[in-house]
Amino acid sequence: MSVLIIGIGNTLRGDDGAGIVAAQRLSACWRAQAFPHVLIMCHQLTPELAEDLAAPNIRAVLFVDAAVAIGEPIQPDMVVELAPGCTLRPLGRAGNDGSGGGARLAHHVGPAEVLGYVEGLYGRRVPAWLLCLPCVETPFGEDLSAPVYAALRAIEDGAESIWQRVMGRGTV
Amino acid sequence: MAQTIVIDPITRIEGHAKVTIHLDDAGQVADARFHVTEFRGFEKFCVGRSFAEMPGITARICGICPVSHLLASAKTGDAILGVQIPPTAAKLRRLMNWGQIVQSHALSFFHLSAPDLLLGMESDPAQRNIMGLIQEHPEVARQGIRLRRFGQEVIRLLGGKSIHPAWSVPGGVREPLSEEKRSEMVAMLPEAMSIAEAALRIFHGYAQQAGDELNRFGDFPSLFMGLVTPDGGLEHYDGMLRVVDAGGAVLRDRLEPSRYREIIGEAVEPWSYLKFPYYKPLVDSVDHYAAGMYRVGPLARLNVCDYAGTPRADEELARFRSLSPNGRVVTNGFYYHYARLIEILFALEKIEETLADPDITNPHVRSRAQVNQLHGIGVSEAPRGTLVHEYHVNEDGILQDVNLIIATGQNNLAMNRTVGEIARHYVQGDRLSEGVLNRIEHGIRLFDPCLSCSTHAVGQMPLAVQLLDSQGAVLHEVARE
Repeated sequence: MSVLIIGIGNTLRGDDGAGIVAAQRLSACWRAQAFPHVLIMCHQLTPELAEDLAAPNIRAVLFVDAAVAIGEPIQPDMVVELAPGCTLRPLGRAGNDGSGGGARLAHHVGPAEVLGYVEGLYGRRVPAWLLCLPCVETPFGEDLSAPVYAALRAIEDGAESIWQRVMGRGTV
Repeated sequence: MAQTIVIDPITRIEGHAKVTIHLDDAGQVADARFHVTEFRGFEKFCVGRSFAEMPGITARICGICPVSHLLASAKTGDAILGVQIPPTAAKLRRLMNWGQIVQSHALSFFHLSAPDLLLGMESDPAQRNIMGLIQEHPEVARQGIRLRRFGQEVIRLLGGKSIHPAWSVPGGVREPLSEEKRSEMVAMLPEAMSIAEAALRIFHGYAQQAGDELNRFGDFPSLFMGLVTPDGGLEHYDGMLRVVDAGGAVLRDRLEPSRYREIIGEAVEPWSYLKFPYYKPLVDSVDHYAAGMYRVGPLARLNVCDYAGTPRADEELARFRSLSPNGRVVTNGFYYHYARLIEILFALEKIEETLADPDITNPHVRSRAQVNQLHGIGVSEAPRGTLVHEYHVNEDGILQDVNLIIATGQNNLAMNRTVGEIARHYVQGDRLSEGVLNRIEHGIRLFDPCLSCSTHAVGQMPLAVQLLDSQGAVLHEVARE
């Protein structure tokens, strides 16, 4: 069984690309330790990713993204801070309660909506986690801010623990 | 007292947009504005880079329509090299563009608009979303995913990945199509075609029961612009520019896309970062640029072409034209949906036809040259409309100046007009109902504006609605998470 890593971001907009970079580095660490996983990188989440999540060999999904603010965690006691502004937390799916709604003007969907697709269309409830990195500066260019570099180091240092956590086998 | 109603979707940190509806002293809608407040700035960012990098850079403008920028940029690079690309490379680029049209139009129809069409404009907003659609019509949601997957797979099989493939380059494409990949695409076609037909049935079903409602989404005369083949057929990759008016008269025909500046001017407004392109020949001074309002995109492409060129698309095009009093030009913005579905049919038929061409696996797919021209223009049809890239380079190919005219900008005037028409019909008094808000949103969605062209972060996209008096004080506020 594999973990699906989905790195999200625009690598030409500074810290907005942190999710992509972090997903690549985490994948390299897991590959070195022979932890089975699948890596997908995308500019933004889109509905058809639900098919990838619903694949029978996927045991859990880890979204990796940079964010300015992501709101209150659904399970505060399960949020782990790896570095300032860098957290690992469980995610819930969007429900039919308006949480998957919003103004449908943009072309992206959120992790909760993708999870909602998976459960609603494919009948699978995939454990989901968000590895969130800080988003401090988003100028044009590939440079990352110092807080993001600190977060990347913490992710590499904690790669095995992240694996255990996402697989439901331990704590970070 | 004059009042302003503000609809402000606070998106992620990508493109922001809001709508302001301005009421006059009598409480009637006097004006409406669609604001875009995210400055993209890619044009300045690119100066100083090599033109050869541009397909890869500009493809990152957007996660949904990267192929459009990739192709327009590569075509601009072709012009700077001064080469004619191998015929197979042109066919492969077309193939990728059709794949993108399928996936992008599928997102617009199934994910963004189907909840309104199938669950109703007045239905509970807590359920009128994709989750509600999954609950009520799971098969439709699943079809949307499958159709998008088809388009993405075409792009991935050609370019190596579905988002930001750095495959189309100045002079052609990097990799030819293998026989194995060709077969994979062919095998996926029947399901995609079946879904496209099902989407048409959904649309026709809605149109039949909607009655007069669908005439209230911005039915007004305007110009329409798009590429056509040399003999007037539907075109998405190359060809000539054609402009028609609402009566079907051709105002400009067979204009080489590189001469776009002869007909397109660009105005700016202090309240939006989106430029306001207009049709210059009808405007006596930039102060009156609104007189040059034109529309681009699926509706415009079907209005400017003489025929589609594939059996099913031509069949639906005839039905589409029967909606027009003059039998040619459809001015009702609601039919952007229909036009999108006809273009999906067309793209699928063209993909099938192109994959059957024995030349499609020809390995000669790239022409090589040095910089031969210091100026290049590339034009293609993005899902949302005509896309222009224009570069000036020095003799080493370093960019000195970049200008991009994107489809969403060209529809800017028409989007404002659409919102105004909807507001005039539905806004009464100083309150907005959910139904009104949703119709205004839907009016904007008809154009499928691409605001997702910058950065992002995880988060919800709530809808905040404010009612302001003439002094800017908030009279009424509604937020939808």
